[in-house]
Amino acid sequence: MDDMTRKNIDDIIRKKLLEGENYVDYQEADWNALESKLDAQKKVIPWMWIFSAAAVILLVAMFSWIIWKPTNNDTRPVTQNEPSQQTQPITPEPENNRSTESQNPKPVPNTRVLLAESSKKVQPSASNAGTQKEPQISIEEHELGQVLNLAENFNSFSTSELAVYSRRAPDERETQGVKPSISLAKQRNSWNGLAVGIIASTDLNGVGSFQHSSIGGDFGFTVTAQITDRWSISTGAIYAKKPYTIAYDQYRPGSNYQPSVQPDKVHADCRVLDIPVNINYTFLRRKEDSFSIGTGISSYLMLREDYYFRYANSYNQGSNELSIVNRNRHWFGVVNLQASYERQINTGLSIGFGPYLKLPVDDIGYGRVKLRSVGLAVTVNWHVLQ
Amino acid sequence: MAEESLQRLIDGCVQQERSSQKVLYELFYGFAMAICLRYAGNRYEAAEIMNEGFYKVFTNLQTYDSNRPFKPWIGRIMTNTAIDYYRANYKTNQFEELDETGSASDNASVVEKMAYQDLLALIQRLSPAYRTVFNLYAIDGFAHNEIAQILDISIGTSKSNLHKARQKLQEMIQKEAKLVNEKRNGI
Repeated sequence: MDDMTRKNIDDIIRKKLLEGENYVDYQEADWNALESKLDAQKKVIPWMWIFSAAAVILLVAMFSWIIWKPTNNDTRPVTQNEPSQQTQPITPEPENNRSTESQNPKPVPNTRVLLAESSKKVQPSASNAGTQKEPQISIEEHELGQVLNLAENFNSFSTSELAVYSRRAPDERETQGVKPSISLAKQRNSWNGLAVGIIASTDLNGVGSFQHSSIGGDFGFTVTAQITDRWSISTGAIYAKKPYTIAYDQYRPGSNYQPSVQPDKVHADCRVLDIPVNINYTFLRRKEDSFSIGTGISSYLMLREDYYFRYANSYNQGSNELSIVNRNRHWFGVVNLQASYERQINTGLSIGFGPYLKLPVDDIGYGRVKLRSVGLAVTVNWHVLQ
Repeated sequence: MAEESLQRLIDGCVQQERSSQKVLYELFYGFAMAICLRYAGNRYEAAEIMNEGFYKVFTNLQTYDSNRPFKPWIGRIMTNTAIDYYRANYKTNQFEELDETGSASDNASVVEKMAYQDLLALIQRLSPAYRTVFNLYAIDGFAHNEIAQILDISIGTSKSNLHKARQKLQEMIQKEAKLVNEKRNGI
């Protein structure tokens, strides 16, 4: 048989077989079999939703706890000459300390201990039987009361500062009342000025949706400037590992090269230098806790992009790889959205955490994909300038 | 089916709506099954392959680029699934021996007259190795070097399998022709 005839028969066969779709009978049993498979698959855990739900629940829980926990009574009337009124929180008696604690469940342990110590230092004089209150104590208490007021609001004090302050009062006998130092009075648990920090996070990276996303991680440094009481801007440099997997259709390099056997999937592993510029707004602040939201723009400098091509039949030995080093730069190509909870540990230190979202404006990387990230970040900040 | 209604259907499937998935399944059942039937040895196998293919379709629908035509996309998934099935189940089997073939001159007209189901039956009687190569080359248009990569065989094996597939087919067609003649002549 010659080639022409062979080809001819091939074509006839081909045509007939391709018309087969018109001759195939539908069988419901086939659908039923597939449906059971789909039902089984639906039970797959949607990590993305669990992840974000957990973050939201955590933030809401902290939020509610901050708002609704009992606060310290900071409007206690304190005068010098009415010691009898001052039975409330400032005695060294164990029972009263306990009531102190019940009134002030907020743990300011160092403060309370110091106050108790200071009270003990005062020599009790004879005036008020049954109590240890007297002018000296009243002075003490007045001062201590002030200190307690301060302490409630300015828990950023180091304990040594409080100790110095309390100890000074009886010696100096400043009966005119306490003059908290100006700087202390002005200090709140927020801070003005500059902070440097480190940030570490874990995120999901995906293209299109987060359905088939991969987990990556980031680590880096930040610098934050508090411009007003509520507003701050921040920037930094963060090294990010962003892996993701996409169908070959979504991989759109600029070149016209089409491989003869098309891969099915592409797995990418990108190392990115993320340079964010964000603006943040603190919408709630209670003592040492604050809640903020923010937005901004990130620039992605693609340090390294590794692409692994996977073929439909996994037995294909020729899985190709491609590495792009230091080529792509996406200046201001990604939009950031974040929320965070921050807790002041002391004057200089705070820690925070919160979720974030990164949505690309640019097509990212050699594959020119819309790479999105959602994750949870943990931060530690040192306030270097006040 | 109109573009927009197909797109809406696809959107419904992406949302995992069972009703949309069923409609899409019924819509492309014939097309998908026809591909799987010519790769498989029987209908039972073909249905397994097809459902595996549809499962991939429904779980990967969000990666489908709506700028590309949909039918070829499904078609590729079905073909790939059929190849995977062959590689997983049949690759290690022995090839069967070949009978000598006769003249092929009448074969073309015989095939022309054959019903789809009968031709399909002949295809399915080929050994899996021959059948797969024949499908990939003659129906799906792959080149030998591509087939070699897909099936992890040498180019020589691909060519030889194609040759043997054709020979076997001709053999069967001729037998078919004889049967038809006998019927016509009133046996």
